[in-house]
Amino acid sequence: MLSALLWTPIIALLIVLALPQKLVAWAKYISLLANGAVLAIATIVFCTYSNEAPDSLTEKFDWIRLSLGDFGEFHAQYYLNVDSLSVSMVLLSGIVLFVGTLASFSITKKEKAYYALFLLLSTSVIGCFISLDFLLFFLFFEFMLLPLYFLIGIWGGKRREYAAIKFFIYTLLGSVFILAVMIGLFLSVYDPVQTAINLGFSTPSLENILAVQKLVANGMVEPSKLVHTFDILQMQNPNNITPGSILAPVAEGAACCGLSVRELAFILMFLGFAIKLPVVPLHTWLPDAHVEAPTAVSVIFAGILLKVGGYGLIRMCILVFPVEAANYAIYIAGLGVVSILWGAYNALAMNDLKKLVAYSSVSHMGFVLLGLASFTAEGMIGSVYVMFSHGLLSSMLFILVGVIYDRTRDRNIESYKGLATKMPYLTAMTTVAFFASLGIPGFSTFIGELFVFLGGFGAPENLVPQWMVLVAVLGIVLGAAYFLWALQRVFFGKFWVKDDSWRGTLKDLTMREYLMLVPLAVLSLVFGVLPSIMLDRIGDGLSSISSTLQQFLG
Amino acid sequence: MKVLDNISESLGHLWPEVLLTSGIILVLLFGLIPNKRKSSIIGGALLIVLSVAVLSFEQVNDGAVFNLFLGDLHLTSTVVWFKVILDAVVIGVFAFQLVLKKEVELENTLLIMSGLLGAHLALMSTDLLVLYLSVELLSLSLYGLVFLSRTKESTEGALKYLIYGVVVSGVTAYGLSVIYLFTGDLSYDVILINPAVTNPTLFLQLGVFMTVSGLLFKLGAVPFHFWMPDVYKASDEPTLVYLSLVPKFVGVGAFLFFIQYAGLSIISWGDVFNILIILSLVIGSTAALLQKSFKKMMAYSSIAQTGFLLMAMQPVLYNVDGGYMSLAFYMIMLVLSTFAAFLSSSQLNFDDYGQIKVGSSKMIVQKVCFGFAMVALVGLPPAIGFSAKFNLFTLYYTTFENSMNGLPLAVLSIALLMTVLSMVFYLKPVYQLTVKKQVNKIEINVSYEAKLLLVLVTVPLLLGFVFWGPLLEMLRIFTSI
Repeated sequence: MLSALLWTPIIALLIVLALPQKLVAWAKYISLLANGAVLAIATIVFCTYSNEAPDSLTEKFDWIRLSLGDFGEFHAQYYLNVDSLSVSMVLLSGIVLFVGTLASFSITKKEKAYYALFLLLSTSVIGCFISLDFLLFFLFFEFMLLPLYFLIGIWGGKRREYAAIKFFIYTLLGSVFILAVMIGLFLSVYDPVQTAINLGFSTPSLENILAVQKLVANGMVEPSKLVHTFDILQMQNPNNITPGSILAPVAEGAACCGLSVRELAFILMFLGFAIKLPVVPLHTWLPDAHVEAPTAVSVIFAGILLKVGGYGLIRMCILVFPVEAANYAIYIAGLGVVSILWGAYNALAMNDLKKLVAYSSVSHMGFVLLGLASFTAEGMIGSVYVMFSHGLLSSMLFILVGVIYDRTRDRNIESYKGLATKMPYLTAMTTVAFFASLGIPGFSTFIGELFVFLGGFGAPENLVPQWMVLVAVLGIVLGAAYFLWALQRVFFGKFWVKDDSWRGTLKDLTMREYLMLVPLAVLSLVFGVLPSIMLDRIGDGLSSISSTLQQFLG
Repeated sequence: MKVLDNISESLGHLWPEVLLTSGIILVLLFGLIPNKRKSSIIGGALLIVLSVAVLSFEQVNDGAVFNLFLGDLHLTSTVVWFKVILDAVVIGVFAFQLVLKKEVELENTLLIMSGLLGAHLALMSTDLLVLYLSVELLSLSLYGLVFLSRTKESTEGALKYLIYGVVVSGVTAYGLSVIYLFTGDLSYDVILINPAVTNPTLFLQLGVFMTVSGLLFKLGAVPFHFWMPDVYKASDEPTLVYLSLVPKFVGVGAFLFFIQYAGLSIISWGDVFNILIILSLVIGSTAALLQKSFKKMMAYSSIAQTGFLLMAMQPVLYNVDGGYMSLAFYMIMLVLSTFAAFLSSSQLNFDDYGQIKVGSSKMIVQKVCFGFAMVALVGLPPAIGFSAKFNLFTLYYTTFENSMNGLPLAVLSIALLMTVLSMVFYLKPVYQLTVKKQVNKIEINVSYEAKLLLVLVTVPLLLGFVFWGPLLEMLRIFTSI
């Protein structure tokens, strides 16, 4: 099932590449079909997922296995699974990719290449969410860069070259940090199950695994018998770290700048994913990339790529380095609050609608940081919920901006007034999207933010101080301000546009645009009114994750 | 009588070299016939080298043989796979010339083959004088090849190369004489047991370092790298492939055998190596950042790659299990990515970043292959470079696991840092080719075979990542026979 999810876009990619020049027009329909299939599979995965049988969808095969002599064995797997952390993200990817494909229909330049890259992006995004082997994850994580670079660099706006290279350098820098930590983890972590088999234990039962961990901890196992692994779940167990290795916890001693190696690794990993999320002050690539990217790519960007950052932060950063994360939680929460306010203030100042939406993303991603820094079940659930909800709504917002931009090639707030009289349905949709984004009850954002605040207030004072949460609440007020002010300026009042020739082109929504916007609005409403659809699936899993984390607190 | 026996017995292990020598004579004779097609000569040479490669490969079964020609040459499985890789490079160079359909002189073919002969003998030698002469044979061929590239700068480049080469050759000869002064012999096994070696004076150490400086010059390690940028700029692409791979691998092999069989105790090589690695990595990468010509960038980055190769030699010197495997993997990675890089750059007719001549949507195949070659050279997934570098770092870490501080730690962190830096200079030409607005759009006609060869080289670049495990397993078996 998960393999089908992963490889459907690749198969479509091959078909698109093989299309003769005469049939290039089919590329978009093939892509739509492929991503429709992805959406269908993702929905099935989401519906059938239950916390009772978390391994029912697991696919696990050896990918690379070889002995490196004195170093031990090298083991990488093709390991796919969904759990409470990733299942909502998989559904989100399905929805956003499908909508993104629909939004791509306005592309007319080099369609074949565009859809090929788009499909490649689809596979790598899904791969990021479902692979539980770090090497496999990193492969997909890197693979996201390549198509995006070209999608922005070739199909982008006026300053596309600058935006593409800036985005590329920022993210590549981040992924190199992640790579460095990945190598460190690989050198330090062993897989007790495989090692047990290597040592001749008959079955890798729980007692045997504990026995192996005891043997390794006492240095009784020859290094050549150890199986070094990329398995993320094994990396999360502190008992699986070989004593004396580079990332082994040591009581004393600092490697560099007063920090231990583990702390350094945590900070590098955090930076790597924080660039992706993005966290202020590492966010400066985001407005540029968003503004220059074509509408569909902006949708994918805001809808899922930022979530890879958030997902990675929880999965690779906080769960792998829980002690360090707890020590630094107050800084993470602080960065979250700074992001919320900085993003919101910038959004207030923006004259370009797309930049406004981009900065509102920065602001919303701050809530994710705040939630996960709390280490509470509510905070974790809130983080994931905010990500899911923001994925739906930011896609919608970017499509709405795209609707206006497609008609006039102008996104400036000051160029329009009173669009409501001319385009009532667009106005209605925008109003829904804006209100849902600023978090009025009844829409999904409200639930997410509510849980984040519950988590924040419930967190110990040394992780998230109360005043930080109170300051963060201010972000919602600011959010209301920039959204409503923009709504007022663009849509209400007497109809006026900067260029009279636009009067003819400003037509209301088309069928294709309804197809993209209405489902997103409905989904946001559904997940706002019936949060149990989501909470039933992710609640228990995230609670147990947070209770595991709580053990590492002081 | 014993001497004659040894010589006649030794000849039996020398079939590839004998075939190569007769091949050179044959090509020379065939070249005297007027009005023949140029490509037929290259094709013939290709077949000869192919049979040399097959014969060399057959030698794996001979096992380790020392004391050939009274201790002048030796043959182990390590030598064999070094030779096979070099033969493969030369076959590739010939194929490259064939698909390029450029006028190539007879001398060019002859020089490539004689250089290969020199390379074979240099790898086999266990006597410093034989090593010196074989390396000179290779060097002389290289000077000629650069000159015959017939680019604008080739005369200047060849002359510079010659002058630098002669100076280093002189230094090496002096170093040899110092070693001879102390030990009374130049054969590895005699040097090894000489009492002067167990407690060497500073002068003898200096002599040894001067001797290996000739090999470091071939490797292109800092501070023996000055020739590279100008010579690279002066050469055409097939010559560049030859130039950037063959002398480098000969340097690696001959250096390793010298240290293993003769010199390990004379200098504490670990520290020397680590200093050379840091210098090569830092100077090569930082200089590559500033280049605006693809060939010059490849020259400086090749200096950095030398640093990585020296890193890959460390586990071998410390007898870490799998050392040869990771070295061979890194070498194969370099062969494939260098080929793909120069094949595509020659088809794109691309050197100066400012003057790209291909329209942005044209020649997609070449651009994609070029991109993958660069990604492989950086060491990012999904190309073989990632797996090669990953192995390299893991084994280097294992080598110094118990003394992971000071120099080794510095080497490891600098290597990682320079990998990051290398992204900037390797991906710059990709950026220039794909996104940048291009001047002077010209349609370049590329033959079907050229495209096919390029794809044939690029596909293994990707397979080397996906089938990383089986490939390494194969190399482990091959390198440990």
